[in-house]
Amino acid sequence: MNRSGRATRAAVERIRPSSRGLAAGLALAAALACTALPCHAVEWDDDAQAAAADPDYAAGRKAYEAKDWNTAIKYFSTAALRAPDNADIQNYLGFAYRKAGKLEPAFKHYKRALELNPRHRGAHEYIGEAYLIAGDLASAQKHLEALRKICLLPCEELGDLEREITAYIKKSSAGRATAK
Amino acid sequence: MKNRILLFATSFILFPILALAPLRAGTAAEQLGRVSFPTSCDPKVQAQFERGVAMLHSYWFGPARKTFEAILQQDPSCAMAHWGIAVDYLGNSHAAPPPPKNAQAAWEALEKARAIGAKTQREREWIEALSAYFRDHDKVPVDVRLRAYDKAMEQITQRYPNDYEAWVFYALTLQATAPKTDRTYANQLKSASILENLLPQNPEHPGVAHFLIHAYDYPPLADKGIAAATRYAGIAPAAPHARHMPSHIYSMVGMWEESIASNMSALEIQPDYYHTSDFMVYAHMQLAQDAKAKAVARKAAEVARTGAPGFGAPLVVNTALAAMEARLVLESADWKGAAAMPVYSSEFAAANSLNRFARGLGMARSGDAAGAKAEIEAIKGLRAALEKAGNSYWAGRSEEHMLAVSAWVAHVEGNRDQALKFMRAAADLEDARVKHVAMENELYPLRELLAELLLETGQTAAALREFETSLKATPNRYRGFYGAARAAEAAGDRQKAADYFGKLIALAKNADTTRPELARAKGYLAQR
Repeated sequence: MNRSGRATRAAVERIRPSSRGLAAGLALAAALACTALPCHAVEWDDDAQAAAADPDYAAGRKAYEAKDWNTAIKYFSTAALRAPDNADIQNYLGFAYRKAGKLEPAFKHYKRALELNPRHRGAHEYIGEAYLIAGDLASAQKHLEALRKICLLPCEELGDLEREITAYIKKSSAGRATAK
Repeated sequence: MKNRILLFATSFILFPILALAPLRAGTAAEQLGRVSFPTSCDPKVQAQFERGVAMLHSYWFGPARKTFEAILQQDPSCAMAHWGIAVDYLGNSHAAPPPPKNAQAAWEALEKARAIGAKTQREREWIEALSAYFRDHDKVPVDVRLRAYDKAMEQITQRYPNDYEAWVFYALTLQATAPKTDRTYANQLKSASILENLLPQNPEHPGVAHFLIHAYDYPPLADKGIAAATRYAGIAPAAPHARHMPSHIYSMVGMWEESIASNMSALEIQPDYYHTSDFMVYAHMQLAQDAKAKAVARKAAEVARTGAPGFGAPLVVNTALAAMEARLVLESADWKGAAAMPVYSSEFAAANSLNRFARGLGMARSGDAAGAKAEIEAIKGLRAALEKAGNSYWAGRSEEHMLAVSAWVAHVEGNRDQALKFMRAAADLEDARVKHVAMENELYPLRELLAELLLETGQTAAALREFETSLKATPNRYRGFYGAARAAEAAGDRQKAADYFGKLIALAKNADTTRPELARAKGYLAQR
């Protein structure tokens, strides 16, 4: 059974018997689609779906989960060759570079992610945090403002960056007090 | 560019060395249009080669590759057959680049073409042009390689201005290299200009008609694509995509009867083309043909039960199945029905989000705010999954869904300002994005939902403005006409109200279902 079929069959199993009608029939259709035979050669594809299916992207994700930042950089860089307009890959690259202690390329990739998708919440949060590492509070706050505008509905990225900025300010104040 | 095209056209008239011959005089099941692509291959495989190229022009990948492979069985020295195989591996250059294994297979095919040695300089240039795309595919960004391919094809058109196929392929690479953020559609219009100039030379060319549709497959340009859409299905009726593709234009400009005919024709030869069934359901619902729409959806479910795999990418199969179900209830404003839809939970979060959006909207609009909030949470999870999968485009769609459902929840809870803020944000986000080339067939125009919300909150003039804006982008919609009529009526604009109610009645003249909106429209007009 291919990818499409596995999940949709699971979906059908969750449909209550009482709700079965045409809608349930269509869900069943989804379950059966692409199960018995391989799906036809396609005339469309979705670029991000392709990114997810990309072996380098998958390997990059695996390395990212394992916090193996240099390996993640290697695989995401290769995946980005095939999907140069994918903001998420750029964001992952920024994150991996930042965690590897390389701020300059991290900023480059975060900025590219935001060029591609100015509403990318993750990139706003992480570039903000990167600015704090670089000691640039004002730039971090600009991204906090951007998140306030984007997050009409509550979003974790806004809260996370707020906390980081608050902690940074407290630490800076404490540092100044100690110095005095 | 204009001058160059004119020169090209003139040279073609003066030196018609590539005389067009019918590709194949056959039944509809065999017809793929007329293609003339001279090669140095054995003359006995020439017709087969042109058939393979015609398949490529109708995005009939897979069967096209088999055609070129069969040519090599008969003429192993046909270098251009390897080129054809590589083009097949490239696939739809409008969409994603081929996966690494296909890119490698294409490169190997091109290496074989080089090893065999094409017998003419022109053929060698065609092979090298495509090689510009596949060379170092694992090291060079795809956009750089695509631009190199585009440049190489442009150079072929300059060196061989009467090579018709070179112009067609160049027109396609122009579209593929179009910047995704360019709202002037410069590349698409340049491509269309080339194709329009090619058309009189061979009105039966499948690529010219097909790529004209793609060039114009954007709301501001869609009207220009109607002529090509009308022609294409008749040119290549053997290809399912050729039968369906015209409906992309028909659906965008609100030509529902034509969309139904186009998709019905595609289903005749490809019954598991669920994307096509979805277009049909949408069109029938605009004509208040609920019974017919349900029959199409039911038939799709029956076909799938037979184990038919689903024509197209699994994502498209799943979004079509999820959307079909949702359209039946949303387009008839059956909010309780929408709320009661079973959860559609596939591996494809983009498809699941459509279902959750419809359920959430149904719950909110039938007063179940708590249920709708649970759906918003579910969509939030789907959005996270899409982001994790590196899928910003569909994650953005899920965010629009969350905002729209949240708007109606806020409305139910009496928070009018919050409701309008959320709904306007959702509509603006939808309008700001350039539709994906795959044209997943939008589920429901969010600006129309904003207009409905404004109407419900008593802002009738603003509601009318939004309905009219929405109707410009998504013309001839049943619920758009009805909403505009109600808004005009409430705003005291009796003439406009009568006009829109009249349009609604005309649209639904062949309705197969009694809808309350039609009774209201008739009642209003009778009173005047």
